[in-house]
Amino acid sequence: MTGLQHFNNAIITKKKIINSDLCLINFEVENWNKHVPGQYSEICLTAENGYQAIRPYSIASSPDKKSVTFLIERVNNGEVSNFLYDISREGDNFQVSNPIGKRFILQNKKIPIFVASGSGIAPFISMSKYLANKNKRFYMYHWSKNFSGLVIYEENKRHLNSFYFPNITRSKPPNWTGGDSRINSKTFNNLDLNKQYEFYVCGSDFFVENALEIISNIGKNFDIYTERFGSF
Amino acid sequence: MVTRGFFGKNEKNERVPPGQYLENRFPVLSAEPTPKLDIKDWDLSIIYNNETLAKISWDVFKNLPSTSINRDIHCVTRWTKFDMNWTGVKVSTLFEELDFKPPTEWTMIGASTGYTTNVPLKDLVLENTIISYSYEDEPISPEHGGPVRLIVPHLYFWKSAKWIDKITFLDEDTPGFWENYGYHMYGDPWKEQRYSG
Repeated sequence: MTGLQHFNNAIITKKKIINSDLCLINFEVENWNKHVPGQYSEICLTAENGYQAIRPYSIASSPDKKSVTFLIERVNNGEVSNFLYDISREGDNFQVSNPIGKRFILQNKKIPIFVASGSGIAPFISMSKYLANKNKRFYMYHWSKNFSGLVIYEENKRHLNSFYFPNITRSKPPNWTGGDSRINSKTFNNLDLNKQYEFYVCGSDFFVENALEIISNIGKNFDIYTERFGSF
Repeated sequence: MVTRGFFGKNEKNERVPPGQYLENRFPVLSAEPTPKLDIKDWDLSIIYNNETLAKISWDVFKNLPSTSINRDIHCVTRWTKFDMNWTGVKVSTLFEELDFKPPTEWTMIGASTGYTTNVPLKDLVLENTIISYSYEDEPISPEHGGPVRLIVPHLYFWKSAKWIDKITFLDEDTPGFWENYGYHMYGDPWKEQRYSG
């Protein structure tokens, strides 16, 4: 009962820059405990003087994969995120904690609906890949400033506007056929309200509050799970 | 294991508990929707054995002797913020003013949202534990737990329940909302009591 989580040695096996804010980093983690989609881990950086910086990140890969992926977003003065984005490279060594979190995890009892803004898509990459591997249905709504920030557009575009609803709020590419408005009272009009749903919402505090209000106004007693970045 | 190229922006600071980093801003983290509450409607119930032993209205509460504290706050998500100024009523003062004798050693703090967290009586009646209605000389904003929240500054911040409206006495220490999801029963930041097991 130490209260300390266990950290494992980890090595970067792949780093993919998505745009000027986002990158995906794959780690191979020694003795990795298989995670439940939706869980997070903490990444630990250690300086030569022993100083350590540790931050939590949602796991963005399916538990079916051997490596573990995180979606990293550069943030103002972000000590760990900016190091990972700017300086880290394949072959570098880190420590990654065992998976944490028992609340914001895929329940899979009703039809899951994922609602994300920006890098809040990370846990839903894990959940949706897990479900897709099992041929299970889900809905995904994602708001991004630009096209590259959608991160998993290519994997999901065959379901565009049926199960997958990407929205670009600033820089739309030409011929964009997805959504372009912010989350609003019409966003979930396509859902059959006679069905049972479990909602998962992840993003900034502002986005989560907004989404919760809209979902509760649909008038059904849905299961709702939320995760916030801890924005200011 | 040293991380190549990492030198760390933050200097070691003895006021920062192990595994924490110094944050100048005040992040918003909540498990549930932010309720919009009018302070005039706020009250606090003290409960034991399903019986409400006392109910304190805002009109009574606001006239109790107030205390201001300046404390460092530590969140289990690893941020630490120095010198946060809170004003409110010490729980010990509240009990004295009500001439209330705590019936047990264990409490469950409850919020209007249904959120709960367990705090031992001994920690609830410490000098710096207050039921607060003001942060930095302003009313506490809804997203930070206003109109009234608990501040237990020596424990991780999930123990400082936002939107407090109940103190329930229990015969034994019982996990609350996050404790049921694996967070530590006590939550001392200096011992890094983040998770149980």
